[in-house]
Amino acid sequence: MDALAEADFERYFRARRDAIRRTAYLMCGDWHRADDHTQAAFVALHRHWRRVRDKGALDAWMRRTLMRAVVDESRRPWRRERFTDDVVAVDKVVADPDVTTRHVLVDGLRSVPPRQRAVLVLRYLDGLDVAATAAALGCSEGTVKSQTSHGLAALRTALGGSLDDLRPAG
Amino acid sequence: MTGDTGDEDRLAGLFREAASDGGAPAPGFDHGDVVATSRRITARRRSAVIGGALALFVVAGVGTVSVLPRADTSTVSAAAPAQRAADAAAPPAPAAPEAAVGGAGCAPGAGGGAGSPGAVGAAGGGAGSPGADGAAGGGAGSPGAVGAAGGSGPGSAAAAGGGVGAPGSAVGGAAPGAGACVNGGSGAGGGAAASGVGAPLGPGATTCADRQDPALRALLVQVLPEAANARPAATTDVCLPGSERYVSLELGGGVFTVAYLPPGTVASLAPGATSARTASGGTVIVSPPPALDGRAPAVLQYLAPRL
Repeated sequence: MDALAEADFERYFRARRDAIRRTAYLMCGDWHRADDHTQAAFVALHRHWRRVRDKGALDAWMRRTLMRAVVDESRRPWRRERFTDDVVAVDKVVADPDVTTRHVLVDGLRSVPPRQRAVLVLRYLDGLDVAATAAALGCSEGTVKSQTSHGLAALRTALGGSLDDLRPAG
Repeated sequence: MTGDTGDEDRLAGLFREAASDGGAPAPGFDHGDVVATSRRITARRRSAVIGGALALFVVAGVGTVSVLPRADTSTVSAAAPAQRAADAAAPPAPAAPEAAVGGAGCAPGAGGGAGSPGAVGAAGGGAGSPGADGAAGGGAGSPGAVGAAGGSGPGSAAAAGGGVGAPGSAVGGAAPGAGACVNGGSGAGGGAAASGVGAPLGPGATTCADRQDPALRALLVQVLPEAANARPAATTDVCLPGSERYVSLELGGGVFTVAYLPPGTVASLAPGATSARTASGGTVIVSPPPALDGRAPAVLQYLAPRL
């Protein structure tokens, strides 16, 4: 890769690293694993940088790469997540409201299946609409809608009454 | 709830708040780490590609080397007609390639020819001195010469110059005046048939088996003289192991085939064929036409100790 392309990549990296890292964090619930996934996605992007024609689609490409990495990793036997009927222990959360919100939501997201979690993160953190989420995850819009519904239900179940914002409207 | 814009906004705020990195550890990687990892992976992939290409090249090379001997079949088959023609035109005294001509011929007073090392079944050509009637030639056979026929003195009928020298035979000289020096001085054509048996001929050393092996044919002629003038029979072009020897001749209204298989080769006999274990541990197979069925045992008996 020539110097100009390297400079372009570095600019993009510095602009988007933290945002992508946050997405990865919500996806996996751990900052260190989020670092791993984010770095892996950027490495993949660096290796394909010369072949990227539409630089405007970089975010979509990164999201897709990141989601695949997180979902794939959750399927590996040594990282396979175990679902449990036990509700997250909310009383462990510290009293600071911001910190409380963060911990409660992240813990609740951990109990949501990976694909549904990805839909929720893309829709509510990255602000993608149904079509963009479907494109990022490589599925149909109907699937995104159903996964959103199921994901929110699972999150609601996991959180119970901890967060009023997740109570069904009306 | 998903259809409610207000709820979605609140959810989005909640997610952003949860993902805020206020209390998050600093990122564990930087641009340099990403670039270094990317280059390392690229170099590894490149090495794997190069290694794969080299492995493919080696495999292709081995395959080519193993296939080439088969390709030689065409060369053999192309040369075969020429060889057959040469065989047909050759005088009825084919000498084996291995034959060492050690004799000095019928030169007056010539001492016995010494066979070259490795001469098999040499007829050590001793020669009597001129005028020494009845002197038995004391010619020295070559190293490894076994069962050499003694040199012939004048009038010695023992040195009957055979028309065909045995493979590996050294042709001895004969004293002048020896009535038996019929063909003796003629080099390859001379030589007495050895009464003993030399070292066995053993496996061939060519890439593909010679379907009209001259050495085997020369041996066959010793026991089946009519084979000397027989035409080579047509053979296939299949490349058989070079350690095997074959002769196929048109004899007795059919094809007379002699095959030598090296030790370790399992022989499957065609109907009418007979086989025997040879001195080198191999197998000789004689497949005569019906008219020559009765000659097969003698041929086997003769060839087995010589192959």
